[in-house]
Amino acid sequence: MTFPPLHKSAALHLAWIGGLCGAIILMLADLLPYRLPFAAPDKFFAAVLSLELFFVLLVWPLFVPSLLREGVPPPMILIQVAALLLFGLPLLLIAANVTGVDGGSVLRGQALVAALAALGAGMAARLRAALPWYFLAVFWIAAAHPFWSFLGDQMGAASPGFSVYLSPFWGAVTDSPAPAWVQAALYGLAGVVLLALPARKAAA
Amino acid sequence: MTVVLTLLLALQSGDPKIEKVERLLGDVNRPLLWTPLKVTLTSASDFSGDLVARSRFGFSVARAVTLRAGNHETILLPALDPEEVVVGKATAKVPKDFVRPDRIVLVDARLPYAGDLVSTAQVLYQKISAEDLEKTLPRGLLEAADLVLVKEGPGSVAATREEAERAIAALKEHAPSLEAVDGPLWVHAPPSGWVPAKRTWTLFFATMYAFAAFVALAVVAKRFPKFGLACAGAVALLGIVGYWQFPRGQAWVVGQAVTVLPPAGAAQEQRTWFVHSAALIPAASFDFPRLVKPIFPTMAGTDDPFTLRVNDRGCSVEGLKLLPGRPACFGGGEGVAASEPSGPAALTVLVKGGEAEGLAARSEEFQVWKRFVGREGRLTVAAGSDRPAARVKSADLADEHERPPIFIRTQP
Repeated sequence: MTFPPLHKSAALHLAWIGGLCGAIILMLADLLPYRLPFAAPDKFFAAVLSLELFFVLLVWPLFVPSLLREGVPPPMILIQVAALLLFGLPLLLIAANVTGVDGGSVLRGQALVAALAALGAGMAARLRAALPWYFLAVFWIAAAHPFWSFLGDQMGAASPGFSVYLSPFWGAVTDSPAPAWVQAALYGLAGVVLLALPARKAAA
Repeated sequence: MTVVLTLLLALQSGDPKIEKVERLLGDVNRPLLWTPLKVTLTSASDFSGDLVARSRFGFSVARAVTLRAGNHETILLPALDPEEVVVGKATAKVPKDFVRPDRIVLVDARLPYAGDLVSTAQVLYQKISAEDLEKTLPRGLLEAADLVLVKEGPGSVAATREEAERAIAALKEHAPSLEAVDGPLWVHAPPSGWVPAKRTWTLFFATMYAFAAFVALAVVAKRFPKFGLACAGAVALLGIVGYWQFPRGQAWVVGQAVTVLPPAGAAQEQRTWFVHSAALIPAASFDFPRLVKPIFPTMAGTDDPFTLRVNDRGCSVEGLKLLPGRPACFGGGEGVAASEPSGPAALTVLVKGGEAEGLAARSEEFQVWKRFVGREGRLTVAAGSDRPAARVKSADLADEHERPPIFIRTQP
């Protein structure tokens, strides 16, 4: 069994820690000419969790091919996901304490991040040719569809009930725990299945 | 057997009775200032519990009492606009037959002329025992009185009736003190939002974590690949230690001391504490180093009852509900040694003939504290920024700091 070379993934870890820490510094150090509304204590956990989701949805899949070139079997990529979660955990726990959220919220937030990271890894490992479609789908379900629903909401239309079970950002910050767990189960299962598929079959 | 045990237990926990409730300062109504009550209790059996004065402002003042079976005990209980007194299951309404004198003069019962003074519509003379004086005067509980005539010690020493009459004739306005409702003080309240210590620590940690990760992963691990895993582990360990050191509480306190220096005699230090929270705390407890009273922005008081538990030295607030953006304020006065401000001043306002001089008179600090300056005096705000402090104790407290102190020198 070959473990992923953690020390050779320095660029990934630095991007992860640097991205999270850099965004937190930008939010809190008053470097911008105006106060960011989501840098308030009651929204800080949601902001940090959203940063993690952004990274695993859009940045992490770009690192996966280089990790595979190190000779690591695709399922073992999940070790890297665990390392990312471990490195990001202190920041997320601090954010949870600042906002005053409970352990259950932290757990389901991390489960969602892990599931989406597994999905991104599965796509990059097994369906690399479909990655542009993956990014388009992420853009649609994570940004365009919630924005469309928001506009509709402003016009008096009701948002479709399933939206919160589709959009990762929406599911992560909603008060109800069900959407995050449902998404974590669906996306996580899809990711694990993709990673577990034999390489040839997937390529075919 | 069970019935006998039940009867014995019932007898053991016999409820005390409230025999008498009287106001130490007489039947006068000054609802924003301390109104100490003298409560006489008796109990058929031994009793340990709380004597509670419920205030019309929505909170209670409690004091632990222990009664011996058959004894009569008189307890002094500080109160603010008290409505009723409760001990065990017994309840007694606080009398409301108020008189409305211009002046309240407390007279030490040891003074030879104490019994000769007769109250008028303008001046209420109220005798007070030496024991009660000793228990109340140093803690500022007699602030509602205009004058306290004493035989010796703190207060106005007047050995003869002539001296007493001269002291009464020389009385000017009622000496200012912290009141239970103070709108201007709330205008000057520190802003809510982040717990200062948490914000600072989060920024510090994020910076150090990113820097340490860069050094460990991009420098050390690259140069010594054998130690790559150890470097990754060290970064993770740093993260765990960083979280371990993070302040956990959600409440923070901003205090301020205002020292009022009279032309002669001991100075009085008024200290206020604003208690904030970044998250909902359903029942917080805070220990204060001195007797404090809640200070509300309006006469409506509070909708969330809490208890102010007094002891011999300080007091504690129990069951205080705190919400983000809805702070609480407490304040109390205490005699201190007179001292002039040392170091530079950030703000100085001179008041002559009741008129404040200069643009500094428009400052928030002066607007809040000008009633303590009076018609002749000087208000000085020390230069500098907030400083860390550790006067208030609480399990929920993450940070306490103090604003620069204020000094007020009054002139006769």
